Amino acid sequence: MAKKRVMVIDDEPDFISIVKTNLEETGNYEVKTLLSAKGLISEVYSFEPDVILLDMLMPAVGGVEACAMLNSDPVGKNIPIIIVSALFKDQDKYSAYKEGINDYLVKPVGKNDLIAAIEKAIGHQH
Amino acid sequence: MDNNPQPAENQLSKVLASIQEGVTFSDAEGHFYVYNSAMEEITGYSMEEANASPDFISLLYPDPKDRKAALKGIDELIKNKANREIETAIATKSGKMKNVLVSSSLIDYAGRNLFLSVYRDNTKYRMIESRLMDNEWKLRAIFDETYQFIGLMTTDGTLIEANRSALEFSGIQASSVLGKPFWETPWWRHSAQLQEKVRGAIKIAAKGEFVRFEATHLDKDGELHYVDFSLKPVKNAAGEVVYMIPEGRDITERKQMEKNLQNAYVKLKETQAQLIQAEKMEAIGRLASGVAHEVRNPLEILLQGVNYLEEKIPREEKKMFEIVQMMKKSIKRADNIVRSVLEFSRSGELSLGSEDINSVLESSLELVRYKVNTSQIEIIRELSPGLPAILIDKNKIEQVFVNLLLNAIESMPTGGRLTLRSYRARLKWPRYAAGRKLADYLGFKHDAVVIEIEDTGCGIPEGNRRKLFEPFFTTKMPKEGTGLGLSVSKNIIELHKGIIDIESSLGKGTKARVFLRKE
Repeated sequence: MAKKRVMVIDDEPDFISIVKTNLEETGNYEVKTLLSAKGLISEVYSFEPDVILLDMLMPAVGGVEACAMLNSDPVGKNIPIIIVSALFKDQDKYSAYKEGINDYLVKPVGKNDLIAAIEKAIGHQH
Repeated sequence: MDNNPQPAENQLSKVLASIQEGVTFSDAEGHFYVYNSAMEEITGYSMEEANASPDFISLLYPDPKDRKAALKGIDELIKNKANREIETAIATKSGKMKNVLVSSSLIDYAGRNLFLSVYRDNTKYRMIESRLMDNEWKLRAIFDETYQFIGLMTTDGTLIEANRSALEFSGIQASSVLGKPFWETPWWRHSAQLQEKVRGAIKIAAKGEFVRFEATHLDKDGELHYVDFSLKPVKNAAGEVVYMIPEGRDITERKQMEKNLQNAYVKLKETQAQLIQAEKMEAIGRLASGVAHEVRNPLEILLQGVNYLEEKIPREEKKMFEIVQMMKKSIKRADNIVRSVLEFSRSGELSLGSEDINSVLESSLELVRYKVNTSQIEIIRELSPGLPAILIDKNKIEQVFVNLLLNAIESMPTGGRLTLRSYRARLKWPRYAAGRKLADYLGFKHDAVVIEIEDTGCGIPEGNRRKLFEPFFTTKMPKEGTGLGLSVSKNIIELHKGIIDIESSLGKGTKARVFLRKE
C-alpha cells in the first residue's frame, strides 16, 4: 500500500520533528514539514499531500489564511485540512471551520488521536 | 353748724390732691362736696361744672345702659348699705370714653345719705392688659404653630404645656398629658428604653444641663418617626432651674434622605466593585488564554515524545514503561489544570434557565453516586418542597454542587453523614454587607434560596478557612485535586449574583452554603 503523504505546517520545530518521526515510524506515512505557510501552494504542488496538518498561530501567514490560500487553489481546495493548535476558543474553531477544514484538534493531542484524525480525514476524501 | 358737709380742711385737701384716684363726696341729688384734682383730670369737668350741670349723671354716662347701671348702683347702695365696686365707661368732657373702676360707699352724715366714691382710670390698665393678651396670643401662636414639638415642664418632669404640633402629631388631647410625668406620655410609650432615657435626661436637665439625643415617636397612624429631641433648662434670675423645655424636631425625612444617599453610595460601590471584578476577570481571562496556549504547545511535544518512547520500550522493561506512563499522566494533569484555569477565568457566559434547585441538587448527587456507594456515607435530605424555580445555569450550578459534594465525601474517608438541605431565606443586614464583591448583588432583605451541603467529616483547620476560595489552594495530594474547585465554584455562584460560604469546625464537620437569588 502506498504511503499517505502528510504535510505538517507549524512554527514549532520540535513539534514538526516529533510528529514527523512518530508518523513515519508507523511506516504508513510520508511526512513533509514546513515551519511556515509562506510559499505553501508551490510546496503542495511539489509534495502532493493527502492531508495537511496546520497550526493556527504562525508568523506571517496564519492557519486561517493558509486555509484560504488552499481553498483558492484548484488543487489545494481538494486536500483535507486538520488544524492542530493550542488555540481552543470557539471563535477560533469557528473561523477555521468556515474555511472548510475537516477537523480541529486542540493540543495536546498525542500520537494515537492524531493518527485517528488523519485516517478519518483521508477516508472522507476517498 | 350747717348740716352740709364742710369743705375739707387744708390738710385733707392736700391729701386728696395728691391721690392718683378721683375722689368725690356727693349727696343723693348729685351735688358734690368733695371733688379732687384727679377727678378733674379723669372727667375733664371741675367741681363747679359738675355741680352746675342739671344732669351730671347723663353727662358722665351718655350710654343709657351705663346710666341705668349707675343709677341702679346708687339705689342698691342705699338699700344694702354695702360698698360697691363697678367697672364702667364714662364720657369725659372732651367726649372721649374712659374705662373706670368706681368704688362707692354710703356714709350717714348727720342722718343724710352721702356717697364717697373713688374713681380709678382703668383705660391705662386695660391697654396694658390688652397688650399683654396680645403678646400672649402672639407667643401662643408661635408656640402652637411651629413645626417643632415644644412643651414646658417642671423640674420634676411634670408636663405643664404642650404645643399643638406635638399634640396633633400623636393625636393626643392636652388634658390627657398635662400634669403627667413627661416620660409616661404617649410620645414615649412605645419604648420602655426611651422612657428610661427621657427620665434620665430630665434628671440631668434639672441640674441645669442641656440634653439632646435622637429618639422616635409614633404618629397618630402608628408610624414611627425619627425625632431630634432636646431638653433645655430654664433658669430664673438666681440661676436656679425653674422649668425645662422639651423640644422635638421630626427628622424622618432627613433620615430617609440620608438613607437614600447611603443606599446610593452602596450601589455605587457595588457597581464599582462589579466593574473592577469584571475587569479583573477579563484580565485573568486574557492571561489564562495566553498561558494555556503557551503551555499546550510544549505539552503536545511532550506527549508526542512520550508516545514515541513508549513504543521503543521493550515489554520486559517494566520500570521504564511505568515511568513513561507516569509522564503521560502528568501531561494529562497539566492539561487538566490548564482547562480548570480557563474555566475559572471564562467570564460569565451563563446559559440561564428556570430550574428547580432540589432536582439540580439530586442530579448532582447522581454524578457522584459512585463515590457515595463506595463509602460508608449516609445521605440525609432536608429539602423544602415547593421552592420557587430560580434562574440559573444548570450545568454550572451542578458543577458547584459536585465540587461541594466531592469535598464533603472526601472529608469523610471512614464514613459519616452527608446532609443536603434547601430552604428559603431573607437576608439580614449587615452580615452580607454590600460593597466589596460581585456577590454583594445579593443583599439586605433579598429573598434567597439557600442550599446547604453539610458533612460530619474532618473539618477545616482555622488557618486554611480564609484560603478556601483562593485559586490553587488545596490540601489534597497532587493527583487528587487542582485546588481550583472552590474558586471556580465561587466564581460561578458570583456570576449568578449569589453567595457561597463555608463554615467548619475542626473534627466535627463542614457546612457549605449557597445563596441564590429567588427571582
